[in-house]
Amino acid sequence: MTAADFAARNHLKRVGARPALPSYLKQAWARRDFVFELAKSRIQASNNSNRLGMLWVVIKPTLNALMYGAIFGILQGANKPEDFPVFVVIGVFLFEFFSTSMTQGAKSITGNAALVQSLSFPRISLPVSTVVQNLLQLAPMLGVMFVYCLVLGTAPQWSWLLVLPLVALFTLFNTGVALICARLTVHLRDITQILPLVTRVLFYTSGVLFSVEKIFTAYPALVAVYDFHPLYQVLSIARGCIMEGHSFPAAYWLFFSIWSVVLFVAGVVFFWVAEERYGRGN
Amino acid sequence: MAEVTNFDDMLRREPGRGGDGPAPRHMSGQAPGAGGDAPDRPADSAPAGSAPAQSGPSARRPVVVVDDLHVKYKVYSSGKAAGAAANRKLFTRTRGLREVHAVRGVSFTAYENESIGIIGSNGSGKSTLMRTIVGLTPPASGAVYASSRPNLLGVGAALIPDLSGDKNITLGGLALGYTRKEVEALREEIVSFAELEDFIDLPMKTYSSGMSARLKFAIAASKQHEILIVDEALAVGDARFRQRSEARIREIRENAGTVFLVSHSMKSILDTCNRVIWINKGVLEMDGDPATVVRAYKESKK
Repeated sequence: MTAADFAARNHLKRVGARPALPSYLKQAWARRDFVFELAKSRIQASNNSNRLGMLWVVIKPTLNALMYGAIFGILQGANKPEDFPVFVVIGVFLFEFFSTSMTQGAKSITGNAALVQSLSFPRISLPVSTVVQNLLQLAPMLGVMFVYCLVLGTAPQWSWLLVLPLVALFTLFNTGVALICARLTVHLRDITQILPLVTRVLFYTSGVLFSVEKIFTAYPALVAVYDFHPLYQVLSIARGCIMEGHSFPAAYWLFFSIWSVVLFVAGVVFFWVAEERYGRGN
Repeated sequence: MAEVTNFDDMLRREPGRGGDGPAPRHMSGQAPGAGGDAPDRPADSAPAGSAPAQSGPSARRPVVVVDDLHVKYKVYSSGKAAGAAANRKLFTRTRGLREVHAVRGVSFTAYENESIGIIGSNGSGKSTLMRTIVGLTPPASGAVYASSRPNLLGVGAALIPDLSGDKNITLGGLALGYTRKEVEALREEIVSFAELEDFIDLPMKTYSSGMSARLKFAIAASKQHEILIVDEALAVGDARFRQRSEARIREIRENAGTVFLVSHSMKSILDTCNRVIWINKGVLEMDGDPATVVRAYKESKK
């Protein structure tokens, strides 16, 4: 009799076996309080030692927006999009949610090796917690963003509320990205070295600081490519909803919904497949 | 060694402190041979009085089966120690990549209500074996089967030093799998067990090492387990707290079905366990009666 038969006869199950996807997701859902608490605790811990504490959540992106706005405002001259300050604030604030979710999500397994090796819980909790953490930080940023828009002379409209479903989709999208990056980093640590470059490239190519139509008027083919660029779609939808005089094709909602759902599902499955791998030393 | 001796004194006095009586110091009637034939071991030699719940030889229900377990690590080393690797250039793909074969074909079966001591010198693979049993480190080959998921006693890694002890109780409790409600119900008990009533709202990084060890232990020990692994966790805090934590471990042990105790203190192994497994360089060297195995282990160290 083999040990496996012996174990089966005595109703023993293999330890550490990856559960089927539905029961995996159920286990992960049961840990939602932990995910939320971990996200909240990390934010509190990271700001505890600063004098200005939680204020840094909004000060940092504000300074970023000021710097990029000033530099690119001068560089672009007449090619500036209309209502440039509001344009930049929306771009920088929303892009921050994506870039931090990606870079921190990538480190969520490798950076928590001690936790992964000492407690058993569905590992998906860690990257999801990172995205939740960034979502929690986005909330005050959005509030401040709307205040800036008011101060800079944009009249409030009902369409501002559409930012909420957009953020929900964006969260799905970022979770998918974080899950994929988290697993890739486990296989290849070197990815954390290249990710800052990737985020910077995306930052400068996603229309955070410039109007794609104005800059690429000479290349209509390139402009057409941007119709399928998810980050560009998020920013276009947000600007269209918040600002006057900026419009976007309604199909962007559909495109970005597809992007978000596909990336989220792909991310969950991709992450789950390697569940047994995450505890290993490297 | 003074520390350990002290700890042993605690252990010796502990049985007198109430509870269900002392754990058996010396077991008889259970001396399976060393080696990896665990699954085929005759299931008739139930240890006499290993636990109050023991009802007879037929009740020896296996709860953990470890089957020809191998665990390997791949580690990036400096390259020097890897012999041939030292000659290679910086960018060759195998730069300093060493494979550590930490556990080499360990097999045994643990039965309900056993207290199994795991002994072996530093780096012999004890902790790796335990982490594999709880499913945290995946095996390279072989498998571990268990009636329910074994648990390591410990929660330290989930806590955040910048946060108050109180918040860490919430975080640690949730990490252990409690619901918020259960954490609230246990909070007071955890605080009073850790004896941190006056400091619970201070950040954990301001605690002394003994205080934070107490808090970690109190959180981790609040949970009941069917199969529990204690990795040198007994020796935390000052003498008085050790005594209390030892009592708590006994309590958990009596409620838990099966306990693995990893320790370097032979005294506490002999006091607590009714079976001992000796791991040497990743191989199961000996498995059986505590007195016999411990004697053989001590012989080998001379």
